[in-house]
Amino acid sequence: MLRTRLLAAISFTAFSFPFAQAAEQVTFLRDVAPILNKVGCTSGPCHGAAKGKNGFKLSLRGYDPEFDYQALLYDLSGRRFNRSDPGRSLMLAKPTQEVAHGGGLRIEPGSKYYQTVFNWIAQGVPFGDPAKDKVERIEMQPPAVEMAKPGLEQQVRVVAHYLDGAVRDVTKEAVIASNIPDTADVSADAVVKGARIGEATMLVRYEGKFGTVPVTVLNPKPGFVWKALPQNNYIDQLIDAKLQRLRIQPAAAADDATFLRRVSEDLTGQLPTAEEARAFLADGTPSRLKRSRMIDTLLARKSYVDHFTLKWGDLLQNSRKYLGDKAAWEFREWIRESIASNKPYDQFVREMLTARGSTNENPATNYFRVTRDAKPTMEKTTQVFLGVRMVCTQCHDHPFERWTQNQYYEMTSFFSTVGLRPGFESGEEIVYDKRDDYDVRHPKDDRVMRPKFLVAATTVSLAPMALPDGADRRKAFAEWITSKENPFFAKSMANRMWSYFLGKGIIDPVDDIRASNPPANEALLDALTKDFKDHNYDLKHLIRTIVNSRIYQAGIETNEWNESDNTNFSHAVPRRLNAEQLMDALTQATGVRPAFPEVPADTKAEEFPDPHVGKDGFLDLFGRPQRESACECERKTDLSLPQALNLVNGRTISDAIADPAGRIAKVLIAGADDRALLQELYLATLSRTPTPTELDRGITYLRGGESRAARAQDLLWALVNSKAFLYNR
Amino acid sequence: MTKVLLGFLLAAQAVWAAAPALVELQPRGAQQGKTFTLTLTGRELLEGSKLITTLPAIVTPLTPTMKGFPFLVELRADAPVGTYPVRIQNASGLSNILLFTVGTFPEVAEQESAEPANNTIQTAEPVKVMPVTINGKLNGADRDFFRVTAKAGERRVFEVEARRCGSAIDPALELYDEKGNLLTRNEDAPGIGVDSRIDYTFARDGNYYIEVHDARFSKQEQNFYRLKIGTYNYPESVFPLGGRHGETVTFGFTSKAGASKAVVKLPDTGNFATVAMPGSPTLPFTVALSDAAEQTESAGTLAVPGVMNGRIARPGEVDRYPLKVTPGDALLFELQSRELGTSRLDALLTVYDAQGKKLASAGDPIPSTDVTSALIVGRTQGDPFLNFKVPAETNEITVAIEDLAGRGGNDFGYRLSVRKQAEEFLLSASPAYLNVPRGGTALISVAADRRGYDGPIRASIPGLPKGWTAEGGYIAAETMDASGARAVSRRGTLTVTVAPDAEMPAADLIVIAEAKLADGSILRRQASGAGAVIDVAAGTGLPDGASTDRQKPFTAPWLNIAMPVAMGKEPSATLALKPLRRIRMDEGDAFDFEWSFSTKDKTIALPATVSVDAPGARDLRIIDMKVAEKGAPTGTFRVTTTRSTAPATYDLVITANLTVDGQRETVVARAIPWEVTEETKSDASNKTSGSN
Repeated sequence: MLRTRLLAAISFTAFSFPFAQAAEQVTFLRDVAPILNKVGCTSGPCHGAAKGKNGFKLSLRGYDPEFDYQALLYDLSGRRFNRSDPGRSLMLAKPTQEVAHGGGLRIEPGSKYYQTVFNWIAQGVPFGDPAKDKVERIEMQPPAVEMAKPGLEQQVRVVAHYLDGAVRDVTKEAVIASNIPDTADVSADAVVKGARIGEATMLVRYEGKFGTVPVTVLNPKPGFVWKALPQNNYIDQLIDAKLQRLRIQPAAAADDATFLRRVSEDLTGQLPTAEEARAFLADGTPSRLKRSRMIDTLLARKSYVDHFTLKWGDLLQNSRKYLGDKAAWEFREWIRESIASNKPYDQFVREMLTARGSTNENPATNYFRVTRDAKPTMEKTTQVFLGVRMVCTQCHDHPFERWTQNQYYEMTSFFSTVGLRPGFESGEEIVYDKRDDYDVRHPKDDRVMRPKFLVAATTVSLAPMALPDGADRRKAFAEWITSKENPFFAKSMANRMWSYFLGKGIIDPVDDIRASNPPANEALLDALTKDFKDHNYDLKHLIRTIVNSRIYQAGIETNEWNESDNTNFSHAVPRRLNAEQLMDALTQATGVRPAFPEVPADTKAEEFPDPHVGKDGFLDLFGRPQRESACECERKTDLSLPQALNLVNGRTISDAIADPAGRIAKVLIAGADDRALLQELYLATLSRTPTPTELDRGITYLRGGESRAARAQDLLWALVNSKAFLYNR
Repeated sequence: MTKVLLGFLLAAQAVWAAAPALVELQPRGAQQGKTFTLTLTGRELLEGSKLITTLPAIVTPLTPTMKGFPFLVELRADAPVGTYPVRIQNASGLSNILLFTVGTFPEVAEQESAEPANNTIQTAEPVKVMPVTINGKLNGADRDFFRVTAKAGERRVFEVEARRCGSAIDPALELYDEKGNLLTRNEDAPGIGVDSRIDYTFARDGNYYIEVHDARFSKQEQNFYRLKIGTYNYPESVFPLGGRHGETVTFGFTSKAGASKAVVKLPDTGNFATVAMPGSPTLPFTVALSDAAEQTESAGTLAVPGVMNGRIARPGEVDRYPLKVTPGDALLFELQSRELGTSRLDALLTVYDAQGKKLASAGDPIPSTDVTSALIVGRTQGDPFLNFKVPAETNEITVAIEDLAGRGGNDFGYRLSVRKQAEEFLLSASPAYLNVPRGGTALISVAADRRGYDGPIRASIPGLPKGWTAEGGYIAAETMDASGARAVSRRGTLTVTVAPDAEMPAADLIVIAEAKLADGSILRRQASGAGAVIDVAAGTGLPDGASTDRQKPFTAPWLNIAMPVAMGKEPSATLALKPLRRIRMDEGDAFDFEWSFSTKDKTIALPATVSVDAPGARDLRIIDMKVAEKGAPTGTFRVTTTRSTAPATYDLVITANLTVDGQRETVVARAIPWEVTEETKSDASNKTSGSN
């Protein structure tokens, strides 16, 4: 028995050693790390978990090769390798399951991966030269895939370019995944298959480098003939160009009544009054001019200011929970004044990021009171103003983006000087710059992290990425973030603003801009961004441009060519009125405004300073955000069963409809006939006059019983419960 | 039955529910030289009530009506502009203070009950004369609009006096044009605290609208405001912020119209004085008084002891004062700026050595819990102070003053007091006034703001007349608890008991406290009085109490009132406390006490429990609250200590709430001192000793 074992050992050595000698140089960086990532050793459920697995920890998805190398070499007192007999190394015995391995079989004995690791051990486990062996970039071949119909396949290839100029096909080791597998998916062999008409993106990841391969699956249906529609501005041109290529026929513009209701809600959060609707519909001015004038009228209204104050209140988390009563009102007022004066967006952001002093005197300082500490402040700042989510990188490099853990702490250090201490007045705080003790240290090795920008913004003053000693960190950060050279700042706002009017971002979610989340129409986003910058961050100009486009004004009706398109803005999508819009719409429809003791009697829901007004009531039921995060996603606009029950049975609506000072009572007391009553109700709720059928049915119903008032109330109840009322269409 | 009761003692106003209370003055102010009827409303305003005020006026009582208690007030023509305390005294005792304001403009009242109400631009109340002071009220989330007419190029000042006059309103002003467009707004204006002012020159002829509302739309009991409209100059800053008792000081004012001066002979006593800009109708500024040598920053170096009056005149400015020192010196730096109400400086005080190395600072880090709680209510922080011990081989230091947020300007003045004092504390006492029932007992809370002194403190009231007794007043030393955390020991309680035949004191009560310093000397400090206290309601009545601001009350220390005192009716019952025994336990002690009520009125329902407080004692449990038998006026309870209860002498104070004729009445027992001693567990053998 002993002899047999000895012989086996000799045979193995005799076989393997010459093999190792003959192999080309293997390094951890270039050869081994990609294998560990590919076979899943560094994945989240395995050794890439925060605490590792079974006592062995690697960095998540291999973001930190130095750490992984050290872990392999020195954990278990370096017993992971048997350099004289590589095949007996734990490094190979575990994944091949020669020794029990909780993660199962990861590497087949004798496979190419096995041989690579074997050779690496035999060569003395060299780490490699980061200046040569690191990947500089990856290249996808082909860069884009267009399929004439569903069911076709396309092989893609991933090529790594190394710092020393070497090039290697890494298709097998690269991770490739589809963002919409239902449209196009990819096999383990990197073959992309189109499943249905539409667009998807293959996300490619290899050794910390990322790439994408856009895939388009065209509609093979014969008979498509592009019917050109009027183009109001560049938005229409850029979207039409893509739609035409994709063989998608966009919807035509909606009618005037639909437009008026939509644009009123989108710009002011309010329904047009019955009088406004009558006047607009009766106006004989050419529709495009008439609409453009209405847009300007709405943008000049106080309710426009209120509507966008509410949106910014959400994003900046204005809440007395964090700020106290007085500051919540004052911060809101500062936002209001900024919007009312159409303060350039860069100035708006700069004023907040550089704010110091008393929160009573300088309400912009309240920006820092919500998050308070440097890390969440940095996370909020990048998410809100750049659309970049850095939160993952606090613990590890970003799994789907180029952001690293080092960058997290470098960016954090821009805010580490911010101090807050109580002020003299109740609820007041002083925001100041600490004089000392503000260093940010890396959690891994405790080194001081100097402030360094995430990406270059190559204006003259910001040429160096790292900040010199003694520089005003927040001022420098504000200059960097608002620079026209910043690749995210203007783009993020253009995208966010687009989402307010079209229901979703060109990049969606709007606060998750990354290479692996590509825009639905890159040319459009670039054009909007450029336009926004060219007009010095004029938000009103951006809004005006979007809502004047035919695309914004399109109808919700679909045709055979665009009915499956939910990506390219080829038709409008109904959006449920948000909580405050809905309450104000009900107020307008019923003529009765609910009273809240915390605010003056004539205050619209859209004017509420924070979610503590009317807490736990109608507004919260309908998805008003509590402003616990800076994410747009906190506001809910879906329709739930409790909401439906409230609409049908709730006191908010039924009381308002039957209120003695309400619309029904007033119209009836004024002596309106059935036709006038119905017209009033339709205009007050749906911003249009009833169709002849609706009129006939309404009159029949009104005359069908003893109490005309009760029947009128029924009709109003039915109208405010209709989808046409609840949704912005 | 075992019950745990840990309660804080009530403020003395509530102790004796039958005391008079002022709720409203009508009007809130008047023009110099005018004669008017001042009507007081409130509780227990009995016939024969005497008006106590410093108003420069002849005051004649009138016949009470259903609307209130009227007095005819004939203001002197030269009555200085300012705020004056008004209170009453009658057989039930002394009332709280409300403030009355004397101004120079004609005064009118807001037409609060007019229909439609003036809460929209469309229904704005016209302002018929100018200049004018409009006395208005804000009822909760109320907005008051007034319409003014102006010509192009005309300048108007709109100024609200509210918090400065003892209103709980924190006003905000907004000015609109004829179309309802907001022209400008103001929340807090320089030099006037949270009050508001707009100074506006109109571009064109027309009607304009000024809106007044509370910044938080909060609901307040003291909800009045005084809106001044006119064309006048007003000071935005004053300098210096104070001076030495009895000296003549030239105060400088800055305003949009330029600089001006006032030469003022400061009073010989008190902590505060007021100074007014000559010719301005605005309320005067409060300035601080001291007994030390006063300097201004042009002197360059600090005198010790002395007060340096300086100003951070420009953003980013740092005032640096070199100071020769001796190693081992203990210096106390105390800075005054925001607390005076005339400065916006949130000061950072830093001490550097000759090489520029930072040695110590104050105003930047949040002070320790004890200091914070001594200075603030809610989340506020007072001006900084620094106990500084000069390190070895240090013969020169530089004291730097700057604004924490790097701001500066004319209204960023300060007073820096420097003296050699290693151990110090400041004392405050509440309530602002005291009503003691004849034959009964009342409470006084004392608080020490420790500034380098951590030892025990004993408060007392010297000079009490015959029949008056003050007991208690122990404030235990600061200690470290088992976890190494610093104990908070700054609170104490005095009880004042008055015999049925006692005489009234000739003057206000003076509460003092004494401490024995490390060198054996006695440090004695006198309590500062709040003058007047006006509660400011927190939040806006929201259900989530945790998310609303607590607001610190308005106080008026500048009234320089100590603690006025009065005797009232006999209490409905008296309460007594007696120690029974002390039982040693494995860890700590158990103390048994007996309480008993005494009442002449057998119909009064006596409570079955009492509230127990032992100010400053940590880790106590009050257990085994028992009534001797059902309906009996006596009972017992036990106080247990633990190893974490610091050895010291504490006061034990009990109170109980009665309901008499539908009104709550709180009765108080005389404070009993009791001692927690430092004895080891091995000494404890569950033996019972007598009363401590």
